[in-house]
Amino acid sequence: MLAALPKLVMPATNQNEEPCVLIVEDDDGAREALSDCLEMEGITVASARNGREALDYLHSSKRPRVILLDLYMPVMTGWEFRAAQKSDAAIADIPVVVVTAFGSAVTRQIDANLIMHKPLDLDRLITVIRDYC
Amino acid sequence: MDAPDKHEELEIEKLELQDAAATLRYDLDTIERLWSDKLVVSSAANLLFNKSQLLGFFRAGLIRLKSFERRVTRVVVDRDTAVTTGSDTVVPLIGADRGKTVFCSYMNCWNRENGEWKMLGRQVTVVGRMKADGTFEAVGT
Repeated sequence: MLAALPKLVMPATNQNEEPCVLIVEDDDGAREALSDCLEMEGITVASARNGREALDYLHSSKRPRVILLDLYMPVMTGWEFRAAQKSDAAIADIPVVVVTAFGSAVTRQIDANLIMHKPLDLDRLITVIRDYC
Repeated sequence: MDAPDKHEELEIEKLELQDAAATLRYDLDTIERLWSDKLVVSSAANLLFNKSQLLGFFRAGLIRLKSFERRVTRVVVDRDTAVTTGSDTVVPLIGADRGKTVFCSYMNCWNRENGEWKMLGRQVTVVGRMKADGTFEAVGT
């Protein structure tokens, strides 16, 4: 139910401002709701619908302090994104927090700074993000 | 086993419908009264919200609905706890689902606090979306 005006792959607040967070999530409603929640907390947000859009963003825009990464996405999955990111020295050091509803059978296969499970505890997520920003 | 208290079940069902009507009308006074201060909502967006966060979203205009139809399918009351299930059909005015008819199933938990029933928990799952042209969108792809 919570949502806001449509946003695609854009820095959500100010294009000249360094985003704190890059949200990589294919579900429009989930991505926009999370973006709205973080912006209400004063956290600058950029977003992408899949790993490919996220890589394109990282190569063309200001670096985020942290990436929130979904795993199962069309075009390029979270695993594929992470492998591409780690092989690119220019962006390899950006921390990645994986957000997923799946358990260890799935998450053990990805190398991330932190794994957070859905449904996401917003307060905890904001605390994590503020540590990076 | 005690017989179900039909009076209390009907009271909870009435509160469920009041909650839906208040959400549609942005009636924050009623919402404040119906929701426990400890409310936890597991939303369709897979985010957990508390009461103050949700009221903040209402005040910021992030929750705006054109319609909200709630069908209560089950109410179970056990002393000071009640669990309900049902379906919500909403048409958001803004956001990714703007103008679509969104079909949800839900489970709510009510708790009697100082003699008054308050919604303590809610879990919502989107089960389908229908565009304005009548085409149906699969969920979970």
